[in-house]
Amino acid sequence: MARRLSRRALAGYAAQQLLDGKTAVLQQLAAYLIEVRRTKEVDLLVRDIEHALAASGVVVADIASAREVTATLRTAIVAYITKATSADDVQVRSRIDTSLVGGVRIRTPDAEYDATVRRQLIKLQAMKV
Amino acid sequence: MTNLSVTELSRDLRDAIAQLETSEGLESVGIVTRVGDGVAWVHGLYSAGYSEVLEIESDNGTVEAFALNLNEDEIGAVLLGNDSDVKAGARVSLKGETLSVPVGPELLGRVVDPLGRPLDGGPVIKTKHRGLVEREAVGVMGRKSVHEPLMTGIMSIDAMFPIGRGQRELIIGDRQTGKTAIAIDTMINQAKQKTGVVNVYVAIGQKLSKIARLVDRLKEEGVMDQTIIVATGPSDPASLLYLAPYAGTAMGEYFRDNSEHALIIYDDLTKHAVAYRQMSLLLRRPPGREAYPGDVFYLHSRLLERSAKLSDDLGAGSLTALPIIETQAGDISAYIPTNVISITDGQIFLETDLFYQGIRPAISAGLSVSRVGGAAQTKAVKSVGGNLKLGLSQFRELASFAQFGSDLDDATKSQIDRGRRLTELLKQAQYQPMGIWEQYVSIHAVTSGLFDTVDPERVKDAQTALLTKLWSDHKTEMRTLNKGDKPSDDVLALIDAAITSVAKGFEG
Amino acid sequence: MGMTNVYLLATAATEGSDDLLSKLGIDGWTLLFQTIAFLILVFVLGKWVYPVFVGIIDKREADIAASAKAADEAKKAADSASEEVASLLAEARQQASEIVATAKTEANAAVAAAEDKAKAKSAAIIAAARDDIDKEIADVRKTLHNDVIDLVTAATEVVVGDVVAKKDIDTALIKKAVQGAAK
Repeated sequence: MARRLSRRALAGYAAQQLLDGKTAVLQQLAAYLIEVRRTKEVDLLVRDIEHALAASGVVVADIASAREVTATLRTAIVAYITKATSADDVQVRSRIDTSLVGGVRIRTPDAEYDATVRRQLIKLQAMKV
Repeated sequence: MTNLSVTELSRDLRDAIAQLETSEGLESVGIVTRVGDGVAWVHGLYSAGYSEVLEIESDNGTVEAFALNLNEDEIGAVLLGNDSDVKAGARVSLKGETLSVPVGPELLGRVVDPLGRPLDGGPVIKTKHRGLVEREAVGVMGRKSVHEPLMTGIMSIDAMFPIGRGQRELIIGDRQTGKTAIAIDTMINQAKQKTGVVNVYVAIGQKLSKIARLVDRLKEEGVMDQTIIVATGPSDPASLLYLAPYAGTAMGEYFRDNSEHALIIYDDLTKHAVAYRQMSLLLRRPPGREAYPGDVFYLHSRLLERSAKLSDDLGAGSLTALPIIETQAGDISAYIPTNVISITDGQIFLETDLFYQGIRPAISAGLSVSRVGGAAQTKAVKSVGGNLKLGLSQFRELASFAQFGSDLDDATKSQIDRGRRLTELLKQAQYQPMGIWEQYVSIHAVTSGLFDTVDPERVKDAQTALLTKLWSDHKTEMRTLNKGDKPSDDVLALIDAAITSVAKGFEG
Repeated sequence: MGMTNVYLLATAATEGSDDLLSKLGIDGWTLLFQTIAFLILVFVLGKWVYPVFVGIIDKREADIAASAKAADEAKKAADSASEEVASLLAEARQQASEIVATAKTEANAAVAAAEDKAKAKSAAIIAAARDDIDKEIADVRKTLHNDVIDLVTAATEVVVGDVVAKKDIDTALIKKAVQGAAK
């Protein structure tokens, strides 16, 4: 029986292939996961691939806010992420989440900056004894 | 008495709100992928260190955990709270520090859990210092040999198996043989003799009713003011049972490192090993002998090595440990008992047979030992302890002949009678520790032969009468004797006269 | 021959004294036989009876002497025994008084200890009652603290939500956050 491949090993390989422009690796990965019945790990694998890409300078970030972010702000956010992660390239995914009330939440593969009102409220709740 | 001040409450809340800060930038986070049986598996947090504290967000606030398994794909973190509060997908962040507990004199008189949270209903404990739960033991050059006595107040221990400050002396025996009683009497004696030694009692998986009774008893005896109790019950998560002795040691180390003396009691390490086994199996670590993980020896050795007598350069403080181990059917050659016996500096073995014969404390003189010995004994007790041991060992050899009664020669009979008197003398009621002078006088009365006319069954009454007489007639001399030095010839003559006088009233 | 001499003597005596004895009214032959009988009696008594009596009397005398001596010795022993009893009694009285004194001291000590224990117990009860009250106050305080936080959170969510709904404020908030993080 073949040794179980760790997610990080798979992610590292996939990230390298993607950086080389070989997008077929994603289909291969999907087939492999089905074959070894590890389809439940898809989300985690995607995160690991993003982490591996970030290590190579390509950062995929998620931005969530209560309302649409202006173009200027978006540029400022991208600039901040580029500086904070020493990235060569930053790809941004935006999302609207009204439950955040206000402010912004920036997520990179292994880090997060949460400057939302929701986070302040959660911290306030955490002060209960 | 505490006042319910609404103004103060309002001010506290305002201060708390003012301290609410946004985070300063990107911080490392992970997510919980699955949780169960007290273990949360976390994805992400690639920079987490071993034993680092993680904070998991839940609907009821933050649940802390510490990382014990740093696998390639995920981290196995042992929860320090209720796992029902933690859900899959929950955000996990690093606290940036390894586990620490509040330490300091503010803890004295309190009952806390292994994280320093109060369990006695009192206010939250605010200390100036925190101590690391996992910490390296002091090196060789930082130690000094054990040379100061730690009086337990139990005559058979102080005379035959003396314990010194900085020693580790194991208390081992079957269930219900009086192991905890010895520990409690030792704590009470520190208060009675005003030694200044701080007590730390770590209850590992003990019934909460038992802990409550213990607290009440310590309060009655006036000991609670110099005692810290770290309590975990059987229904607490295994992680808390695992941490309890380390947390207690951190609290004791504070006093040791500040030139004071502390005594720590682990009750009991058998349950500690079982909790660690549970955690290790749930973390999928490979099981070894009796399903214990391979590092179960290290679990206890790194704990007990932290109890030491420090050198003068480091303040000459000490931390004395009395670990307790429960055996099954008197089997001291089982896995965990042999591990701990090889770590400690001696053991006090309690036998069920002796207990049911009425010999309490049920200490087996043959199997018990103190590897520090006379170096940790007061001169007074040392001068009579040798004869005591000799008398008892001779009695043990002849014990099988005792049934022959009148068929024995006079010398044998007198040795047997002496042994019976000594055995009777060493019986001691619970919660009544004895001072140095009381022990010296009692043992001397029997080993010198002055009590040879006393009926062996009346030895305890004669002892009580003797002690009362000496305390009432020669209080000053007894106070001096209580300091530990051998008595002068004059004082010895007084004592002998008193013994002779009392003996007449209890002749057999 | 002997008997012939005796007969001859007796005959001569009889013949010589016939006159005297007849004058005294004594029969010579009776006297002779009585004398012989007497001598035989004396011989028999002396040989078998008197030694026994004398022996008995001697023994009785010896017994009496021994009894007298024993009585003397018993008297002496009784005298010394009564002296010993007297001294033992004196010693026993002394010990008894010491034991009583010790018992009294023990009893006093026990009473004092009981008093101290009772005082300590009552102080402990009072302290425990105070602790209970403190705990209740702490519980109330805790509940109040948590309830206030819940209220503040709920109120903030609604109020801030309405305020921040104005786009400029949200934008300013985000800008401030990003600038603050970039520093």
